[in-house]
Amino acid sequence: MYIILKEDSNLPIYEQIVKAVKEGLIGGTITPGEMLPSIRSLARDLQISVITTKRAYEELEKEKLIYSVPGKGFYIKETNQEFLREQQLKKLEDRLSGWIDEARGLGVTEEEMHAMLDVLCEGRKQQ
Amino acid sequence: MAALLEVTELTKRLGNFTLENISFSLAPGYIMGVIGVNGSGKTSLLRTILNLYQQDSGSIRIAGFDMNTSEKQAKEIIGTVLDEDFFDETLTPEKNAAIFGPFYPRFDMDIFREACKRFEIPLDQKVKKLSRGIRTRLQFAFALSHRAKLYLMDEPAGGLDPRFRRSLIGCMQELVESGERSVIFSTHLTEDLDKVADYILMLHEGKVQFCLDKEALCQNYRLIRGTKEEIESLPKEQVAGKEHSMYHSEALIRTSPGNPSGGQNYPAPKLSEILYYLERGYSQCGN
Repeated sequence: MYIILKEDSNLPIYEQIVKAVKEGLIGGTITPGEMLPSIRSLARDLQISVITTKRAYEELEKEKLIYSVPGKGFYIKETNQEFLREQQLKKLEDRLSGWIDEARGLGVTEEEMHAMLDVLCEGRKQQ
Repeated sequence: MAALLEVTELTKRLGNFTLENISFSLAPGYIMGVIGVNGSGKTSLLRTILNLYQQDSGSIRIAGFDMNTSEKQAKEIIGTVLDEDFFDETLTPEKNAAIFGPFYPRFDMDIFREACKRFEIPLDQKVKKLSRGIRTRLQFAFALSHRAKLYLMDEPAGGLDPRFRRSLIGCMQELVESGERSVIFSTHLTEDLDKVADYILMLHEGKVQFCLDKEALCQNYRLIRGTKEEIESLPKEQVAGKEHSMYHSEALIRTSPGNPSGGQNYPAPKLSEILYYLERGYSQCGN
């Protein structure tokens, strides 16, 4: 599992951690039953505060993605990957909608939008 | 768990400046940053905690030891990095450690040598020949060597180059990782605090403006950018500080407790922005 924090992200750091764990679950880089690093060691590793890391773990616990075993640590729960993926897809759709609004505002037609997407996808493939 | 540092209703008059009725505590395992503009009392507070300034009233407890009645025990727990160090300039770091170390029952020369190696402190040069940055690191090495639990630092990053500043921040996190030691430090470099501080204590004219954990603090404020009209139409009691410039305006608002989601669409401010607008707000209200 990798957690890449971005300073220019609109998301607060604790949400970026939550997102990274979700993506890890969907992508299969984190598997249910796996133990998470301790709050303090993750904070040190990411060079963020203990309080922020705690907040992220609380959020993950609230969303029932992890559970804690007192005296041992935090573990990844058995989760419905499909459901989680649906959730993330919904968020992606929301962002795409915003993108479509912006394109319309600029007078970009639907056809041009498709073309734009195709070109960008092609460009990504080559990288 | 008992607090490592507990300050209760501390008051200290210093000429025409007063530290007034200061109360806060710091549990083991956390980093607290002290912020405030020049003259807000950061250094005075740290010096008073160390009993370098005799307090007028209130109490200071270090891991339960009262600074007035058990000063020796209290000070054994504290490691300091201050603007001025106590080293004998005519001697080498190692000789200094040999002299001052034995005042601390838990002092360990091996830890000192290791720390000096790690911080690239030359052991065989006289202290007066060392640069300011190296003397800062030397103080830190000494604090580590007597196994201090509470690390009290006044502008520790001041004389450090970027590489050692980063390493200092890393050291702070390493210190608190076990959950037994804590760091309290004053700074102007709020980006360091944005990263690693758990608690922020803000001073203004000798008083505690707030002492909050960072997540709560970021929840409490939002930064709004807009046109002058938009900013002016915000409810006055919500605006902590604002600024108009030619092409855009900006305001720091308090998210109302009754409506915690209010303003959630706006980005959480950085500490430097909170500090800037709160100070601005005071001077705007004051006039």
